Amino acid sequence: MRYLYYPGCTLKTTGKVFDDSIKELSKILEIELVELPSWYCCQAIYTSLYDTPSLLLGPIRNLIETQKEDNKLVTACAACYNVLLRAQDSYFKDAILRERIKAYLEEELKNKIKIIHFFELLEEKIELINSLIKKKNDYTLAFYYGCLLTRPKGIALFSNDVNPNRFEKFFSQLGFKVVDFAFKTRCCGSYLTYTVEEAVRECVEKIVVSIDEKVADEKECLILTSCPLCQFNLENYQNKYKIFYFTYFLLSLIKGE
Amino acid sequence: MEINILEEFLEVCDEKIFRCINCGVCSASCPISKFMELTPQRVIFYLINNKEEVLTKNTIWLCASCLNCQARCRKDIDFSRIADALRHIYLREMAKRKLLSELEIDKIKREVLVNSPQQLFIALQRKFVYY
Ligand code: SF4
Ligand code: SF4
Repeated sequence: MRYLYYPGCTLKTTGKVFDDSIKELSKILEIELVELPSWYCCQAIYTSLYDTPSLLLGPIRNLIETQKEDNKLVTACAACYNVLLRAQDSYFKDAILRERIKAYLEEELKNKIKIIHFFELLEEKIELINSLIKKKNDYTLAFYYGCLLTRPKGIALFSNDVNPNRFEKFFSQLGFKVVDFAFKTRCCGSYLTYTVEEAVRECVEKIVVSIDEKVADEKECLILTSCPLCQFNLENYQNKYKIFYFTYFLLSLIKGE
Repeated sequence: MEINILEEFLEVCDEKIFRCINCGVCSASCPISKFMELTPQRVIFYLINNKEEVLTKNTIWLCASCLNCQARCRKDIDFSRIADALRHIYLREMAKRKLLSELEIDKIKREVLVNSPQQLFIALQRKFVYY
């Protein structure tokens, strides 16, 4: 099946391994991903002020581009995913905001675009993935969801589950040991890494402690993520566990590395 | 600073602050509250009581928009939007008085700045630059 794909800025630069592994994986799994023509920054965070609709122009423009070709859009960066979803939600909920954005763009978003996380496509291909994995290793996997896939409630992918576990299910169906740890949806500290490092250090430490409680042998445990921010903060502020993008991990299993 | 903070706030943000029952669940669920001069719940309390000091407390710069509080608030209040609005009110006010202190890039560690994901850096600018 053919999908429009929105990589976002980070996946083209510091998060290139994420983008590369998504592209390679989808080739192997016969998912046709076509980059959204003339896509650009999603504006990184969702902010809405009554008097400044320009704060939402970026994500809405990307969705308008999408609408010219399709009614769904695939993305994998947790931040882009979250911003696109929230912007679209505000756009359709708030008539005044919608009118102002329309007036500015001279184009409108007619219907809701289905924003799909790349993981949802992998879920559909689980049997194929299972048959392609050459060598199973004995790692225990801790999937760190973070904030952006799980909140705000009612909007994000996993926001209706008190305790999201789709990633754990996915990987245990592939035959892995998975750990369910209490802090898997807690904040990693986000952009405070620039301004209040202690806060990030503490956030990361709490996540690590919460994994510790569930893991017998820490050398055998990997953290997986779908968020470039989490990847950065968890790589920088702890060195107990290795952390990978989940697509990179899957790809290396399939390639038998 | 002498501004009518409540009025200014209501002009830019439609978050339903008057619904707040001051239960403090937001403060209790906030992973950053330990570092805050005023907890989220108290910021809302100050705001409702039109106390402009909220603008000079570090809370508005510390909220990481993680939405932990939003997911738990039984009155459906999203504190991250309140913090965003207050931050912008502050930045605009400073700009009006030509007092805008630039984001001090020099103070950020070089290795963090160079290696951090683009998304994070743009988020930083979105939080500290006025619109
Ligand atoms: S959790 Fe909600 S109702 Fe309770 S104090 Fe915080 S904002 Fe107010
Ligand atoms: S959104 Fe802000 S105030 Fe709410 S829990 Fe997260 S950091 Fe704390």
